[in-house]
Amino acid sequence: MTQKIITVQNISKKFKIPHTKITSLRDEIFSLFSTKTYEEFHALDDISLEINKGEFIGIVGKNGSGKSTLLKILAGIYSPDSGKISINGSISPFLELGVGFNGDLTARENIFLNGTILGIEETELKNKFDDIISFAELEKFVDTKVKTFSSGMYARLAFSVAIHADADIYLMDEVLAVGDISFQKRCIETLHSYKNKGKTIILVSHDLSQIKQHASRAILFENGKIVADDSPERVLSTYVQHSQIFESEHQLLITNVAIHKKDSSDELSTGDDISISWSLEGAIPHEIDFIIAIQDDNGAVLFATNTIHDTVTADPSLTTYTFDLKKVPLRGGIYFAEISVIDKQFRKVASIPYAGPFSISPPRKTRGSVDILYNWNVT
Amino acid sequence: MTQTGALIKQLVKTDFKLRYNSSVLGYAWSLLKPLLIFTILNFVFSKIFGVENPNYSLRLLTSIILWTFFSEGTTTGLHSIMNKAGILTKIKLPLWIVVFSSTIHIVITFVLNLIILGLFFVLYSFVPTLEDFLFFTIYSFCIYIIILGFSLAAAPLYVKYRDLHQIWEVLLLGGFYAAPIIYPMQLIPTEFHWLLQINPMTFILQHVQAVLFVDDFKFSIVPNFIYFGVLLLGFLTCIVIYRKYSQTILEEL
Repeated sequence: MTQKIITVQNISKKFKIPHTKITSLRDEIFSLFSTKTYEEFHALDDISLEINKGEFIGIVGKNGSGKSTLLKILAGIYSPDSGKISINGSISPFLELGVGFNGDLTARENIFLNGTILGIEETELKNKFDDIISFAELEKFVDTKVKTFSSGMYARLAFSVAIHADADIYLMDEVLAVGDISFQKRCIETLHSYKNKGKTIILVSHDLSQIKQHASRAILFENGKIVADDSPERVLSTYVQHSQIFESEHQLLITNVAIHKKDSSDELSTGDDISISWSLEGAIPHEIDFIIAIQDDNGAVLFATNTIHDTVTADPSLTTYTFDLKKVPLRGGIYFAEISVIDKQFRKVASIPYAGPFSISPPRKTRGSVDILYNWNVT
Repeated sequence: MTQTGALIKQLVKTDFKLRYNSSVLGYAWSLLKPLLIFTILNFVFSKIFGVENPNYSLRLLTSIILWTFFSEGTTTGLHSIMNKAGILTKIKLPLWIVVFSSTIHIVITFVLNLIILGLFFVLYSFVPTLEDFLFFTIYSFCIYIIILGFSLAAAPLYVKYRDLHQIWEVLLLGGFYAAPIIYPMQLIPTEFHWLLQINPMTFILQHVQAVLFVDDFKFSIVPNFIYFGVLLLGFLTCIVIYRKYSQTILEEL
């Protein structure tokens, strides 16, 4: 039984950006008899959305597409011009690089202030205090004023406070834009474990691979409207298609991507034969070519090839395409595939980033960027 | 409800830490300020100008402490939302809690100032009656109502109009001289009394002084009722302004 935790009905939010901003009473008096001109900006345009308890939602879209405005409205900082919102649970927000800290207070004082604002009771806060500090890796700086913190330290502390609040909904805006890779990993893993505990997570991120890996559903914003609300795979494919300026008017999607061990469903390990399969949906051009790339979990391309150089002619009428990799020398870890479709004028007409992911296990005790099967003949 | 209480407690604590930098000396300074103003004014007016008035010094100190409560309270309240901008743009928090908390530590400072005032009363061997205490408390509470009302209305407006604090500073300076603080009301020609009566503090100061220091003072109910009525009306107006602006003001922080 799914339980609706957030219902958003037809909300709109307009910002009036005046040509000259009035910031004082003096300006207000002087401008009494002049006409005030302004630009209107539709940050959100008639958005409706339902979110169930336990969903991990990834929100993607370009800057200015309305993602952050929606989060601010959900957090109650902004109020919509029209429409209705109902939220059945407590919220812990992490908006635009941080919860609000006061620079003149120490880390300890800020934790107590913010923790209280987020609704953590004092005794609970005392119990959680050490966890918050150790998660942020700031044991040495407990009594240092946060204005002396680096942006990374600040963000770590802010995130740590936000996730230690025992909320039903976690609103996370660009959490992953700060901190080093290992901290980002811990953030996303913590959020993932929260999802398993039935918490609802709404994550705005430009890191598509993280959304692909962890979100159960993705939403794409464009110019204040929701243009796709579906599985992360399909939404990311649409996003990439919309954001790269495809010269073709074809609406083509790559779907049903599957990555598995050839002829078996066993777990993948180093040296296995791996098979990647996919389908095409939509307007398929008469002549197509494919590009396939394998990426690691940081997005670095490890291997790429295409049907043009390999002089393979793809049949546009197939229901399923497969690409077989033999004795793949990948180290234990998480990988993605990127599949793109090219038409006969070498124009990219569709692409799916971060397909998969697939994991290779277990890590073996070798070193280097690849892991090749080998034999020692030295005895 | 208990969480709201905990939140207010935490915000008041924060205000104390920020204002006095967690130092005892910083705190002592806030108590010293009205005393220093008193010392200077007392010297200038009773020694140099030789103002003849029974209990001039005690009158002056009492008025200065009440005025300081009013001016610090309204100034702190005016800045309360702007000072918490960093938090308010990130986490939803009812604005009135922020405004209300900012007035609390001013009240605490006021109460501590009263202890010092008490010491001066002992020093001048002046003993107020129980009735005096009661009236003093009522009028102090009136000042608090003005502070709270003003803060609720002005703090959101200050976000919109950033020159309000300069304007308020000038008005406070004007108000200080347009109130019976350094001089008794009788010194002012009656045709100018209306000018002083616009100042909401004049009525309170006049009455506190009369209750404490005028022996044959006759308390008349009607003007007091009118004053309380105006005060209540003003307070409600302030709440209306607060409600009008508090919804949208966060977008301008």
